[in-house]
Amino acid sequence: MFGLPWLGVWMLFWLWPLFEALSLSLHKNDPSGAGVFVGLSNYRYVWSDAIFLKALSNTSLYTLCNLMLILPLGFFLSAMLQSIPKRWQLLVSLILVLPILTPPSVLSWIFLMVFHGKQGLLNAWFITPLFHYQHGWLGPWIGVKEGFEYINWLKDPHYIMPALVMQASWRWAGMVAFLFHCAWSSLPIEVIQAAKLDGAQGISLYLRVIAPLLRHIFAFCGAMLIIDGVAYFSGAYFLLGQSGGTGNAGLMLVTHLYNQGFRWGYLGDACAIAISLLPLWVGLIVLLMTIKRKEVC
Amino acid sequence: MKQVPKWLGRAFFLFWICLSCYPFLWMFLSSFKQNTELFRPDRLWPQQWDFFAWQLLWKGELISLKQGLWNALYLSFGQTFLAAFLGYSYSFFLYFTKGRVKLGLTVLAVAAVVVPAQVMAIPLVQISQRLGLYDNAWSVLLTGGSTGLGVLYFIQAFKRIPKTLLDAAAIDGAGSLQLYGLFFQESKSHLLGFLLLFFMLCWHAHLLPLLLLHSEANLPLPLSMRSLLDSSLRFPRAVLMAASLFLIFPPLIFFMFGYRSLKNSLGEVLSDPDV
Repeated sequence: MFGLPWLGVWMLFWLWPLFEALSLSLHKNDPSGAGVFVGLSNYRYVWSDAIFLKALSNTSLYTLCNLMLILPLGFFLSAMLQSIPKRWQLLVSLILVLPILTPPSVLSWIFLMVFHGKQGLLNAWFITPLFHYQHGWLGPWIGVKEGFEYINWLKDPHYIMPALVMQASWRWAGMVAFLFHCAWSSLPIEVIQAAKLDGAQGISLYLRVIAPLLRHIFAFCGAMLIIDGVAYFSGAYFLLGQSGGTGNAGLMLVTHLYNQGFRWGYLGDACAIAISLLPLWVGLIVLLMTIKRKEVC
Repeated sequence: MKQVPKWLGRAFFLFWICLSCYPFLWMFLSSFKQNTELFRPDRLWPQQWDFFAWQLLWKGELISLKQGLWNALYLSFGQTFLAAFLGYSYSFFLYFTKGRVKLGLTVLAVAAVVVPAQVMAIPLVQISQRLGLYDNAWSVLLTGGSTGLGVLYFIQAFKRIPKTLLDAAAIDGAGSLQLYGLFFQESKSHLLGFLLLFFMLCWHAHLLPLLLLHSEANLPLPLSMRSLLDSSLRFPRAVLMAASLFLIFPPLIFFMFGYRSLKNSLGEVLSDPDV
């Protein structure tokens, strides 16, 4: 009796749509004709489509960069959070999670101002003062290309991905730090004290004692970042628009899916994209969990 | 291992805290600026304090703040309570199930977490239309409520209930409903932790309302604001800044009041190596 409500809703709003998506992906469902069974033709088309492959590589790169940046950064911030007096921890935690508490639409609006042209915060405060080819503090010394004044973050295809990763790092690092902080606070104090008595201190205490104790949080946060990375939509959509920026440099898989299905009406292709995502998604998480299990064993 | 000076770590931490705060401070102060001034993010303080955006917002002339905010709260709270109730009940059921059946039923919840709504975006719209739920808040509530996150969370939380307590309840002849209540008593703090966490997740989830809701009267505030953004480049952007602040406050307030409970609950649940 207690299990039935969830099972019922799950079947209606998860299992049924999944089967429908599978079925739609095997049919020709576009504005010109509907409902004709075409087998794996939609999949063949999707996997030979350069834009899909671009979106796939963008999404993979975005997810990988997020994992490599946010996990260490979150751990570091959590170590600093742990070291401040308890009465300040609520306020600092609140500030750290502020970015994740903010809806992505608002965040993108903020980041539009951060990355926007010459007067954007990043250029006005860091890039131009540091790397301007003539007047920058470092520019003339490190041989910056002549004429360089600022980076066009949202137009130059080389910098669109770094801009998106910076946005994600800013958004997630504080939350990951808070999750580490929660688990860190419930670690057995004796283990840490024993390690300190054995001479572990500073960075070695954090990297050799505490980080291994928190390895399942690394795996949990990693899985969370993978799910968020592959499903990333709102931030890029609001910041770059439907096109995904110059040369599709910021086109994400879900944005491409949204365009195919809801903008152009190619429902079969859109569902084939969605189903194609599944092995990537599940594979990455299973890989992460397998690594974690092996470590625990 | 070579030591990094403490001051360097603290300086970076302070820098990160400023980095987390600055955009919000800028957003707040920008709600008092005119468009020409607003597109200069390096200028923090307004040259002249102008309250027109707050007045426009309050009067509901450009967007219906009250309606949008109410819709956003209704959708987020609705999904949160539904996910908590369904997840809690299913985990309770799983607690008393054993062997391969339990494993199989748990895998269903894991699948619901791993495969997100994006994969089912198109069929979800079609199914909602077939069920007569399109442009109805219930389509979002039920889809959000079918998450497996609550199930996995409560499975971990229930592991912390002492077996002796259950044995004592069994000796006293407690039935299913009494045990359900007992589990509720024992996992209140975890329940609160889940409510806070899931509310924050729902507050940010725009894709489902974007796909399943259509009429202005049903849209949550972030989607109403999107239509304002698309309308014209000349509309006062300060209104958007002021409205955005209203979107930050609810989760911030819940986080502040539920901090201790959330921290303890997440600490316990996340410390379990089986998570």
